[in-house]
Amino acid sequence: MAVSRRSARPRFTLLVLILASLTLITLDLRGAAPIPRLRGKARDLFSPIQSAVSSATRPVTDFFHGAFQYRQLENDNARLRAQLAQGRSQQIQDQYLLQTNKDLTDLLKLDFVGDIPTVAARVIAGSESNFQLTIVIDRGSGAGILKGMPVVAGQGLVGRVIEVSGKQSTILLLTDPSASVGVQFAPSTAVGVASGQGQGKPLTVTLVDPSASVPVGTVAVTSGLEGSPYPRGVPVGEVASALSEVGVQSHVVTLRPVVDLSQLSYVDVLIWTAQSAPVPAPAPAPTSGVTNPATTVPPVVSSPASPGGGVSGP
Amino acid sequence: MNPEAHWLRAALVIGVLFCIHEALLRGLRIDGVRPDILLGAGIVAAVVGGPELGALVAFVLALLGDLFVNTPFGLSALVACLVAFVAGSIRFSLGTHTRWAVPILTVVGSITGVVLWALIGTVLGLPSLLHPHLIVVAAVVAAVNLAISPANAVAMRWVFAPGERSYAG
Repeated sequence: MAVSRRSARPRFTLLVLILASLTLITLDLRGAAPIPRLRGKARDLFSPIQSAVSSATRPVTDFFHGAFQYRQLENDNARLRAQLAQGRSQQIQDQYLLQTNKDLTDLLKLDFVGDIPTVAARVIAGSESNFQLTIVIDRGSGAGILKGMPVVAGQGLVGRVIEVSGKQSTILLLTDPSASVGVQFAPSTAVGVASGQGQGKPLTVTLVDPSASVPVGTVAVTSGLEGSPYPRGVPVGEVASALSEVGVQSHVVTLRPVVDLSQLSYVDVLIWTAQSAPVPAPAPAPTSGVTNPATTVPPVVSSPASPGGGVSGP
Repeated sequence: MNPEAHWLRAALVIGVLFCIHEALLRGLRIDGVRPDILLGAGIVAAVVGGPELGALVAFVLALLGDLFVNTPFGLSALVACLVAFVAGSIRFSLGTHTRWAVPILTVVGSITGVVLWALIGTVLGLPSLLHPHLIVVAAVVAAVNLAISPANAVAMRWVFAPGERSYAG
């Protein structure tokens, strides 16, 4: 009897632990408020330690990073040397193109952020999990950031805020398989939903009109249709491929993100949420290229509500 | 040693491991994969301290780790306590001191843990977890946990004080 009790106790403990885990998972999936609060508090509490240790051990972690990424660094080195050689020969032409580009940009008013207020933030960590593509930034609710706000970098969309604590926020990157964004192709009127496919992979686009033609190189911008957590006109990616499917009049379209999501150092969080934003009627993009959000979406200061779950509509 | 001392030592080791994982190794990526030393430590705790205590330690370690990721809270804890319990039970069933128990069970347990996490995550609706890169993730996590398993074993033997409530040889 004593033996059977003894052997039953570990199983009972395991059962309790399993039930506790399942309860916590259920609470989290149902959006119970205490869990995000607990996570936020834990991150705020631990962030000074993380920062201090990170600063102190940077040389060591950089060394290991270099050691473990040696092959990639070697490839990068060769690629950069080739690019440098090519760049030198094109320098004069580039200066001319730069000036032309500047003039055209001014002309088109391509400042996609428009008058929407932004909060600049430093990327302090990459993905905390091996199963989710996220970054952590050093600004949180204390800087006015709310869950659901869009995040951009130099050339376009990076993702959106999925977790906020007082001093940090977690951004779900565009390329995460659970991320999707409604896009519009300029200058055509084709619209669709771009979905992440994982690290280093292009986004795939499900077109609303499958037969719509989308040439390679076309820029896709956020469509900003009703319910979208993104303002209209933020560049998302360039069409990398648009292959016709055999037997049907539709295309498999992939997008290469305009922002290099593996090299992010600083990002801007748009102080914007969908709740109070007026919804512009979908209109054909201007013939000149990328749509100009500043003229279609007035800046809207965020409301405290969250725009919703992990997957966004177009 | 009285039971309180066991738990105090366990709390200290858990705190140190957690700081190493979340602060020191936070930025470390091997082939794009973040090592999961909390899982490895939980397995070693079960191999050294037995399935019951090991599952408890693994549960607490993984639950702390869950605070810093955005995947379902408790998922890693569920996987860790299951894997640790099975690893501890296997070790216990082997009976006498087996030199290779810690490294072998650490590697097998780490791989199982990563795959089980992806399977349960998929059941819970997390997208695209079962892809070829999962093999790389499991391999890296297992390799790192194998590398640090001797240190984990020393720490866990200190926690569970062999000869009392430990199965360690």
